[in-house]
Amino acid sequence: MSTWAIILIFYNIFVIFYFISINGFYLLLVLLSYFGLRKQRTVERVSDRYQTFHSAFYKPLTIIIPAYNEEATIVDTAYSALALKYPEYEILIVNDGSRDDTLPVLEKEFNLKKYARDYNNDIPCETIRGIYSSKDYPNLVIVDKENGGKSDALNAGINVSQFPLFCNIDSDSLIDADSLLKTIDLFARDWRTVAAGGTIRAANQCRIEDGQVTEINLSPKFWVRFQIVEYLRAFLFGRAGWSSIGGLMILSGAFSIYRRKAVVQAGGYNLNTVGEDMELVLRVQRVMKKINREYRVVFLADPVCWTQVPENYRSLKNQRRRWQRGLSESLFGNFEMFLNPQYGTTGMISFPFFLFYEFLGPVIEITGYLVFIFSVFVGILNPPFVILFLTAAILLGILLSTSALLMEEIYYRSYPRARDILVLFGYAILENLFYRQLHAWWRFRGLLDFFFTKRSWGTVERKSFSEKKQAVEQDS
Amino acid sequence: MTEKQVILVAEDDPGLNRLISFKLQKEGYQVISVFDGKEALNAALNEKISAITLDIMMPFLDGIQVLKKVRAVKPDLPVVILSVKSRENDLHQALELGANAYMTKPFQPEQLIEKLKQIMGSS
Amino acid sequence: MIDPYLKILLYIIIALLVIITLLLLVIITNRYLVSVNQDKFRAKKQKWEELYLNYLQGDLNLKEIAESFKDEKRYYWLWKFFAPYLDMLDGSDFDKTKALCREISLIGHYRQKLEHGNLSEKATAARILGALRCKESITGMISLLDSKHQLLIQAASLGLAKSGESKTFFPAARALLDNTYFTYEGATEILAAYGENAAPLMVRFLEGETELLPGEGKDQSLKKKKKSFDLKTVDPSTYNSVMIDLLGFFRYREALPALHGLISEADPETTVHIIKAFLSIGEVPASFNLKSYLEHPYWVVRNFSARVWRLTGDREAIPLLIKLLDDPNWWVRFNAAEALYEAGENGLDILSMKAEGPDVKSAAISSYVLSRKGVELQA
Repeated sequence: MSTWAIILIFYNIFVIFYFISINGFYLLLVLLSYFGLRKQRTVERVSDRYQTFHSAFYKPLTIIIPAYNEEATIVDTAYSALALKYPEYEILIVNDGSRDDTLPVLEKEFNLKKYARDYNNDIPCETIRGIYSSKDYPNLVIVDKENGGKSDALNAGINVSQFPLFCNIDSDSLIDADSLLKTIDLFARDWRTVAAGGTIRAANQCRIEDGQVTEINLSPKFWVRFQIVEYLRAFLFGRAGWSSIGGLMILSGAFSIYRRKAVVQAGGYNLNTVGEDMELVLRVQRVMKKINREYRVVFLADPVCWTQVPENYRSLKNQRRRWQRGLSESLFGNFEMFLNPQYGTTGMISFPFFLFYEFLGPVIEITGYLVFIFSVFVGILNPPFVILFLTAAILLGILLSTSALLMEEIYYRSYPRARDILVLFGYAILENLFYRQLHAWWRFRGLLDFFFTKRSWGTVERKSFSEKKQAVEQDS
Repeated sequence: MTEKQVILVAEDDPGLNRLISFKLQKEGYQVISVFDGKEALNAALNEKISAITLDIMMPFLDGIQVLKKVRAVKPDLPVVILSVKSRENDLHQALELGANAYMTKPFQPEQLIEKLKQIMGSS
Repeated sequence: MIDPYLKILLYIIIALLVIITLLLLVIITNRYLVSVNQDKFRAKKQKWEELYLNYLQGDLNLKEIAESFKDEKRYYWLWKFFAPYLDMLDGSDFDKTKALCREISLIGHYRQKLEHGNLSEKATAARILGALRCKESITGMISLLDSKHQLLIQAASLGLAKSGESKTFFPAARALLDNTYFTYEGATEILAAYGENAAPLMVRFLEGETELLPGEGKDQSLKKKKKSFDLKTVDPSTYNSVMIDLLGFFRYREALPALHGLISEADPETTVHIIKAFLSIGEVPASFNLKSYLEHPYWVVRNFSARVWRLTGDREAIPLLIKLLDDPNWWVRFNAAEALYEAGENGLDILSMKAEGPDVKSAAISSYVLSRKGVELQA
């Protein structure tokens, strides 16, 4: 047998092994998250929600909302933040040198006046031009600064924030009124918690009133529906599963809460990555380890952050390319954690998993398909085997998505109409027939971006912080 | 001919809202029940009411905001704030904004009714 | 050689199809059942509400109303119905509700669960019995305080707190603070449910009766390294801080002498707690020497001392407040300026003078505070 044939066979075996192991892992995560979510529900039942909601003892919180060229939506965002139920908090909208009327619009709506407040310079950031507070809403503060990008804006917000906890919310995200409190509860119940996050759900075509989602509708849009299924998988068993074994590596930038001191010690958000949220979570863990302090990064499924997800092919593709790049940058920027027993589950299990299955995943998947097909042509694999294998692969994918739908059904039932779940099931099937493969291709392009594209300071600066806008702006 | 006095009950917990409304009705009052801040403000400004019992933590607009806006238009409308003990700051803020009285939960409905009668009597 | 693999694949495919179909069926059935149950519960709630309100009003007696509830075996539904009333009512309405819950065996059922249920059931039972302020369950809940599971300790502490049995305050505090990962804020929040009845005990502890706190737990392995929220090491006076905060929260005037006694030897963090307690109580002890705290090296102490000034109205402290207008920390400057504003005519004059004076910091903060107040006056 020729060398090529042997190589091909081995690669096929490798791909099959890869496939079995990744799905094995996912099935394990499903089981872990089922029990994890059950435990969370018990904790929920046992907590005196009424008491908690009205607690006088909780640490106050700063909500940081970075904004760039958001004149159209910033007022709504501010009102939605003002509608949150929390005993004591301040809202910091960081205007990152917007070229439009973001600041004037805020000035007009909220009766701003310049505020002589001092701030720390814990993290280097672009010059802060002024700090304003609202006469009508004393806990609303606007930080006006020179442009520096989203990470820089967040760092400025951290500098100005006075409270021990801060929450990072995207400007086009909406948080459920009691989601904040439920997430902060994690910090009160466990001193080791340094970072926590909740579930992200698609707000597209949901009814939104006064900054709250009042009616949940299943979006009729084709690309949104795929994302809904994806998010259910990613959060309800992905993060829930990882969190239950202490190996959570990602929190969504759309909604995450951190201990300010921990982030300052870690040096704030990294300016040189598009995946600043994941990168920060990893770096905070490393720093905590260095100062020899126990820590936990926690995911809670109950609190929900609603966000507008890309509705068309182009935006979605750009977003996923960017995410893959962000993932790559975060992993390599914190490579010290790889197989490092000091980092416990995160170092020994999550990090390798993400490296092998999420980072390299697109490469293996795409080459896997190509090699399979090629192997059939040259007679190394017989067609029935390939067909059956691919069928099994597709069914396994559908099983995983269906498990996520089941979890959604048991614990949350967010979509009021029964047929919505059936529609999502249909999309779970469709997903495995072409969306998955397309997604792998986008991620593959993201990998190429990571390896080959020079990042210029300029392109990062000029992007809007809203996911939607960002995806559109990026060159394809 | 005496008209029945109308009391606005603003409380987001439906069970509690119903209980307060029921007891008030038994005392001979007419009751308008609302379950969130927006409805509360709407009713307070547009309906002919004699008094309000106002919860602080409500969806959309909290009781303090409602009180502020109501006081701007109806400075003499009797208001009893009903909220949880932990939020003492809120309660004091409410009194500063012109609430006539406050009660903390857990509470005795009879005492609430007494307070309402008191402040309506003296207005 | 390939054939066996094909067979395996076929079996796998069939198994997957079966499992997926099953899951789908479970989803659909679950949705249907939940919807049916929700409708049932809604209908029952409506019926129960009518009866319950009439019972509270006195139009129905206990035996009569109990009849209508007795056939409900879903105790969790009964709890869901009564929960808001139990949490929010007091006095005779609460007593009547509790009597009803006893009559329909709700209490009995959960007492059983507390003794014999699994972890989750015990925790839920503790929560429910606490809301019912069930004194008979106190022993059961106390034994849960020795549990290895944080959830049980949490549920038991909350249950004991709500039952109002003050003598369990210290065991609960010990369990929460030493044997769980709870932060001291989280623990304080639960302990606050004990209410003012526990205040005298707390005062006695602060006055030196430290034996009120049970000794170190028998099982040392339960002790979790405690650190406060702010990344500091364990504060040996954590218990003191918790109690000081609670006394402030309860606005317990009778605690003032004890608090005053503590403050002279307190570390900076505890000092902050004590001064905050004075603020909450709305009063300072007669012989409290505010001036020394206005000059304290720790800025948080200076900050709260400036805020506390208005409770004393001590004119002799005004020069110190003026000095604080130049403090390195913005919040201290801000609160000193606000305090001066409250000092009346004199204070206003001082601020106006400082606003136009040569010291940059004092000028900035004075004019800022004046403009804030000035604007409010105009509106």
